[in-house]
Amino acid sequence: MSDRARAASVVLIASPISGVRGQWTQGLQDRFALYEAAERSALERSMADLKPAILLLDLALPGLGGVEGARAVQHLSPMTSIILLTSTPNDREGLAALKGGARGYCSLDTDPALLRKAVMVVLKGEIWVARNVYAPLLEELTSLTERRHKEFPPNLDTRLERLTPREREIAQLIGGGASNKEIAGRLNITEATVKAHLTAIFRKLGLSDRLGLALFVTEFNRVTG
Amino acid sequence: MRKRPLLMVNILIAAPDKATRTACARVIQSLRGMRIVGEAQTGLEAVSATARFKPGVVLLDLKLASEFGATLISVMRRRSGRTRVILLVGRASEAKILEALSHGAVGCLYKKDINRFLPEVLEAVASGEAWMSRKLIPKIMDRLAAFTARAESRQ
Repeated sequence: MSDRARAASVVLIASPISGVRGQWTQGLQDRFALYEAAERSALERSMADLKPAILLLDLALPGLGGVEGARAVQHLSPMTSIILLTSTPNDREGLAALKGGARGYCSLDTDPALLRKAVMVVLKGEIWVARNVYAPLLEELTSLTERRHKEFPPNLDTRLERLTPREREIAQLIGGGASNKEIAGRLNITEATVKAHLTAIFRKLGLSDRLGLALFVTEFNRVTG
Repeated sequence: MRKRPLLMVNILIAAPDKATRTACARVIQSLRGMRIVGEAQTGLEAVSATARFKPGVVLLDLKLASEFGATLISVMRRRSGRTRVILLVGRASEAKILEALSHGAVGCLYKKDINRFLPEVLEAVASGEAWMSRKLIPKIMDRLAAFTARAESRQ
């Protein structure tokens, strides 16, 4: 984006406190076309008319209704990136804000220079959020992933289905910690044949060694119970 | 910022190449309250060392994590519930990093940044925070949104 294009970006500032609006204006006025709103109806009008690139929104705006309310405001201009600001930031609300589509969440008393950086970062398509939101964000990602794996083990299942019955048998034996020699004895085939099967198994499963296969099989057995 | 308890943080370094292990070890040795309890060169070694030492933190080379489609991290976490995994990333695709984060890694550090950022990353993760590049956040939000969309379409 050229400087000229950036200078044209419209930023809407919504807070009931003029001091707050003034503070945010400080870091941004040289570069953006700024508009202000002090209450909800003005905010809604400006969102619909201006379709700003960025909305800096104080969660204390009367009548807003918190993070959920911000979501409703978003519908008036879907392309606008909303940065929510609050005097009492907490990581759960931050996570809810991001999940509601906000592109930023930070403290009301963020330094003007930092707020300016936040606006720039969000304009680039990134998300601006305090680092203490990262942990709950990842917890959510992990728990959803694990829940999904429990519901749909096919992830591993379909991979194992690529194997022939004999290959599956060998994979299970590897999972049980058997050596090539033991497998050969058990299945009454030569060690060279075991090795050939293993090569095919690694290729089909995208694994590089038997330790990986052992873990893969252990995991599969655990998931499929 | 949350303060971590004044206990020694035990760290396991798991990376196939010596250069990475040495780089991490050098930084950790200069930190107060952190000590190395073991090193591992393969995925299986990393799992068994995690089960054995129950380290507070594992520095895990993404190469090892990705060998098994990132399930290695799930396995580690099951064997040692309190262990927190930080990924060490060379030139990996974002998809692999996201996969590893989905399986429970809570930190992600590029190897070129070990000297500069490892102390900060360890401090953050030992205090219960997560540490990664801001650029990953939109990708994570996309994943969360996909989960939600899938759940809704099933209802």
